Amino acid sequence: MRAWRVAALAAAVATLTSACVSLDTVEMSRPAVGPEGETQPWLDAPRVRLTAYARHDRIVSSLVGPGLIVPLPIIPLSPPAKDPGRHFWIDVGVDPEGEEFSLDVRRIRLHLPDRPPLAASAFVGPVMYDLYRTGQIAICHAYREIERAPAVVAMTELGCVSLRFDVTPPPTDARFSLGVDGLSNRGNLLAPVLIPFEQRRFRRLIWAP
Amino acid sequence: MPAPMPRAASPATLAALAAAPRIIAVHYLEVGPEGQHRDAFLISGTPVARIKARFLDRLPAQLALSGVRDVAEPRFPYRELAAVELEPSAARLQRTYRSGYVFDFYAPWRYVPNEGRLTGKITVYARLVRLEDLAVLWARQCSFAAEPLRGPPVAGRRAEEIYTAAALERADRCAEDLVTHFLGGARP
Repeated sequence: MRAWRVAALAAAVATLTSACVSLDTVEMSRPAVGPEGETQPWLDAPRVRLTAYARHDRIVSSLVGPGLIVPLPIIPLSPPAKDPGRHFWIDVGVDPEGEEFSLDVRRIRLHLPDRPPLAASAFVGPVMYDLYRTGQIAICHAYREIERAPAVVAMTELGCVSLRFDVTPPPTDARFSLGVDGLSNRGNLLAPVLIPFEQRRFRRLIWAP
Repeated sequence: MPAPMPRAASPATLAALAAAPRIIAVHYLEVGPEGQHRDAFLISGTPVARIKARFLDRLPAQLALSGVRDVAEPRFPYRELAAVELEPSAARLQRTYRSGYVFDFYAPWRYVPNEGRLTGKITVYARLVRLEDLAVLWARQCSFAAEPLRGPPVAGRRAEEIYTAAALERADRCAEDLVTHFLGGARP
């Protein structure tokens, strides 16, 4: 009888504390610079660092399962079909030295294969750069900010602008690049910085109660 | 949070400030990113820009400081990744301003349900940082009761639209407490 009670208690505790885990394989594009293992690579320019994040990552496979103490994601799950949409958003992180940098968003160009360079149609920012990647799907903390027409913005500290390009996001294995022109320090225009993207694949484990 | 310092700013600090060619005062963004919390937003809950302004109004008269630059635009409150404390990174201040002294004023963000309340006392933290070596020369906190509110603490609203006159007076006294502590107990 005692053993039965212990078993019942263990089952109840297990039920209450159990969780699901999901092991996703994600494909994304990231700047093709810096060390291989670097989470978010930065490019150096005079007195400023730059990075970018293309918001077209996708889950290519997913395994789910129980996550009680030891995660067991063993059940394959078809990732939901995702409409790529008509807009391609790219976040640009800018980390200046000093407080006199500005960025002319109108001069930034997206270079896609077999297309003329494309200017952004709208943007939000500067907003807070997601230093801790809490947003997961972006590097800009830009959720409900109002989109506005491309313009010059002051970049007085580490910040982020999210650019909207009116084009269907390319697949993650497409070779494309972002030409960041329009960065100025004390009114002096810096040489354009080209950020090439390349496909990356990573796995992430997500716990859910 | 910055560790509260038991003592006022030292005489050496006051002398260095009086001779400093560059003193800057900043505050941090009061309304934070919403992230996945769609039914709530983050707010520091403090009219921190007003407290900074009040502090500066009182401080230079006591110290004969001149040329304190009050930066109007709030900064983003980045923290060091490995930091246990929640105060904004002093190294970020150094990257922006390079040299001199910085007073910064900060209140931690907290989640507030839509059109919610700011219950309990609101605390604001102030520091004086020497940028050359990132030494924190002085740190102190003060608290005040924010409620009842005039209106919901939503993004884009001025402090005067959120807080009642009585609450703003309490916030002003909070700033004066900071000055008093900084000066070693002498009321400004």
